[in-house]
Amino acid sequence: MNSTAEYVSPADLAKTEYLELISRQIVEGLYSGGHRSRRKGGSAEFAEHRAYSPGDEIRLLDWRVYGKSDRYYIKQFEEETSLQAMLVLDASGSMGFGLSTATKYEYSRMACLCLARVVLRQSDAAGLAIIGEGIRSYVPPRNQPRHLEVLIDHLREGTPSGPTSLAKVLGDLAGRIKRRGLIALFSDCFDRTEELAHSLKLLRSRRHEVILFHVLAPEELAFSFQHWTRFESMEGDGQSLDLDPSSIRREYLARLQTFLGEVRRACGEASCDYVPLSTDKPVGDALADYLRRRVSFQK
Amino acid sequence: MSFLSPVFLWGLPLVAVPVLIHLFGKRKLEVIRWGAMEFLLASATPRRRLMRLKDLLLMLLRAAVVLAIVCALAQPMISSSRFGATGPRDVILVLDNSMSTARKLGAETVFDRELAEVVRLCQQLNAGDRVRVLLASPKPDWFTAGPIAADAPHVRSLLARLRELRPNDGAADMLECLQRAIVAEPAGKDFTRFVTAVTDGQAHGWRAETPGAWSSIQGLARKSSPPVLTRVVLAGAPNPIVNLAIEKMTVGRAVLGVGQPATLTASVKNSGTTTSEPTSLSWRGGEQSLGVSAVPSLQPGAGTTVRLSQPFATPGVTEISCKLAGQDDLPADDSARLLLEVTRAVRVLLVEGEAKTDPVQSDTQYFLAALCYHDGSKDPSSSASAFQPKTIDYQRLPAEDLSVFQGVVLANIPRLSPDMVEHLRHYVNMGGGLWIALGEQTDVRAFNQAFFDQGVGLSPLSLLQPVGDDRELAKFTALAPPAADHPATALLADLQRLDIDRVRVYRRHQFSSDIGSSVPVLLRAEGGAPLAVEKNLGRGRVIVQAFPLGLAWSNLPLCHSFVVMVHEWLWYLTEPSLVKRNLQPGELLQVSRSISGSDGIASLETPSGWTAQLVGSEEDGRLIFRYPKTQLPGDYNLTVSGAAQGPRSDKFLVSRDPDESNLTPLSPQQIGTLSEAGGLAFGSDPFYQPPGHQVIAQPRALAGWLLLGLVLVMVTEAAVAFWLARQRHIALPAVEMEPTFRV
Repeated sequence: MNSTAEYVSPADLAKTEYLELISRQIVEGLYSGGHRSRRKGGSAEFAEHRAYSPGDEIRLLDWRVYGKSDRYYIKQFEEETSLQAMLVLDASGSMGFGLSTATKYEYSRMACLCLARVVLRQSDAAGLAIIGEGIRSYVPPRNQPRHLEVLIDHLREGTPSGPTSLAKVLGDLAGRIKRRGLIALFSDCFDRTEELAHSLKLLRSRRHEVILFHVLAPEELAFSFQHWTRFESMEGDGQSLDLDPSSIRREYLARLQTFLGEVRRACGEASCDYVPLSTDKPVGDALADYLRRRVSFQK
Repeated sequence: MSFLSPVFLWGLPLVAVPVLIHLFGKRKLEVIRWGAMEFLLASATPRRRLMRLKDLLLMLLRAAVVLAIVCALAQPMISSSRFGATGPRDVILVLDNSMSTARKLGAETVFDRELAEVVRLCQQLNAGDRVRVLLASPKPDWFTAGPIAADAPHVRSLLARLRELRPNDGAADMLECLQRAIVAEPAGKDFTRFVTAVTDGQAHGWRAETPGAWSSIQGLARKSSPPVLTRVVLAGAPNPIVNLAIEKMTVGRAVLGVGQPATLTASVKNSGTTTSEPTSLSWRGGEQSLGVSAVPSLQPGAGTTVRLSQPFATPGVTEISCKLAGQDDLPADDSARLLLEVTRAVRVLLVEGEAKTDPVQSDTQYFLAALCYHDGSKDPSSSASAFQPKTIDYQRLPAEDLSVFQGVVLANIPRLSPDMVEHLRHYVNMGGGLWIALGEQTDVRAFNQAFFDQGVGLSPLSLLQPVGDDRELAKFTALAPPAADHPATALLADLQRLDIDRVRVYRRHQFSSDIGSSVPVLLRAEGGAPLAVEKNLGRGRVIVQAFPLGLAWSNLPLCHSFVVMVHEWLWYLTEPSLVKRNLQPGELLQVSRSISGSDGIASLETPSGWTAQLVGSEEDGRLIFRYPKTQLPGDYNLTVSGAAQGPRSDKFLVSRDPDESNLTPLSPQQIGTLSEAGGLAFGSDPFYQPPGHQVIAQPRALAGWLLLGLVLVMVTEAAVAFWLARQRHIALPAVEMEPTFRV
């Protein structure tokens, strides 16, 4: 039996136990009055069949199944919720970096699970897309409690590899996600920031709420290597560089600072939340901080 | 380049260690699989070249450190004038202080100019150089005890001492001086020797006519290691020279009897370049004026002789001087001096043979009469002869102490014993004069055996049997006029006043002609046969006369010439035994004194003011004091201490070299000869080095510079390494990530 404990420590899970991820759009919908609550039912997407029990609505009988099986089954529909959260996990090669901490991918995976749990616990739907050069794995958002296991299965199979094509993949993802919802992107964003900004704007134009969780390792942020090092690319392009890290530290950090600024600016221009995550910070604390702030901002 | 400790050069491969570390050390890389490659690529591209340069610089610095350590330990020595290092110089100044440098040039003298050149030369010396001064006159003599450092205090002291110098009356042998300077002990290791002669350029003393000798000098200079550079700086000036010089002053005989006249002769020469004016020459005997002689005008190079005849009645040593009136460029040669000794008696031993009954036939009576002695005593009315004869029989000769006689006359004696002949030989060797007058008593065979002794005896020639008949007066041998240039026959050659040509020899001994014409002949027969021959033996002289002193075989005693001959020959024979007071430069100064009461020590005052202590050597019962270093003209005064009769002083006078008055400068041809044969460079630059001359500069130790460089390199390496480490470990803060929330 799958367990989130395999990927997330109970302590981290506990930190997000009582927090909620409330979509701002849902909240807006509530305030605007155009939002359907989950309890009110209504049209929804078909979810599954269930055997007819006396008292069920006749209109829910699926006659095609009866015709095939000579048994009565009723259709069960997803209830239309306030939130469909799509958790997008960047599984490119660079996400596999991690020296003193968990890799960015592992960290992101933990964060995904935490967030998915939060979403599912509040009876919202959570989906998963593992992306790399393309969409490697896609799990449509569902709000069943057992959907978390599905997500875990998919997360187990993913390994970071290959180059990053965030912009392209986000574009593909935008076409795939029909309903507007919340897209939480876990990535190191090592891609062209202009294209990333364009993709974010595209997602926003589709009326999705986008949260960019910018995951970086502390070594990437500090670059405090002392000795001559051979740096080999994790993107699979075979690049390597022998250098004295101390000699380029200043310039590297400056460029990184610029990069972060650009990503942040891109998020700002696209009206996205920009959430930097450093893998040396406990994922639970990081998510808790964010969720609390998010709530406080909404208030 | 050379190395004092080349074994450390084996460490040179260690220089490759930093290079190898640089090349291979980097291969031990930590490998990190990195995600943010684009940032590295973007950052590393502009930095990569600089990284390489920094590492390369550090590598080179570290390699330089190792190289500097290895080289410093190996102690390189570099000998190269590219660094401006010509090496220390061993400078020897040959300073010409001969009489000619006293020549006046306006208000100063040539010697003053030479000193100015020395000052100028010393100012070009460096503190690391060494300098010595060799005075050229009268003989090469070191003015400095040894090489002295050419730093300012020592040079000042040296110049101060040199300024007190004055030229002396001596000449200079520049060839000997330069040779002495070239072969002198080196001042130290790897010093380049510069021998610079500072001279007036007078031709005399350079021996330019002996290029062979100068070639030897050049060979010496070249063989030296490092080779010696010789230069000549001429301080003289080719101005018109006005100089009338007394080349020499002579006297017919330096020892006279009381009342005997002395003929003084002064040779005056115009050694200037202009015709001299008529002038006078004044004579003085001690403090007394003896007269003035006129000196006519002389053309350049012309000379004249001025004479004065003067009797001297006072026994003792008198200084006779002459001086030219007026002033010229070289006052030092305007006067001359000599010492004249007037003696009361010169003891002569007259040895006669068998007594003769006829006094007319006596071999000694006429001789004594010529000396104004009659019956054994001197004619009191005559004071002309200083000789004091003593007559003995030949048989008593062995008992006589010959050392008290200045001359011995053997007048027609029979044979003497071999011991006596040997005694006579010794006497002559010690300076005695021997006059052997042969006669009828002479045993030819015995004479040849004892006196000729196969050519090594007292007689220069052997005898043959006598010729002629003393009874045939019609047959005789006349005498040829004797040589006028021989001191013993100079007066006899005057046929106008004497009658040597009237001497008739009826019978005579014959000299053999075995030895030939090398034997000096005082008298010859008209036919050329020798009648009186001379031999110098040791310090003394021997005259062998072929006929007796009496009338037995000739009429010589009856001629006027006989008296003159007796006196002249006795003076000539006794001269070596008398003290020779007038010496030429370098001539041996010698005095014989009695041993009794003497401690054998004598002091000799020299013209330089220095007093030499002489130790007498005992020879034949006499103390002989000798001093050969009489190159410096002037007065020498010998005092024998501890004599029984008290200290006794003897004066001596060394005359000038007359050629030193010749101020003729070196001609261009002579300079060319000296330059080519002797390798001398004439010019004003004392340190001129001819093209192609390899000066061995002193190998300079570079260890000190290497150590300094090592320290600098190490400091630089440490600074660069520190800077690089500081760059590496600079605490740059990690990039901060700030969240933003959609507003």
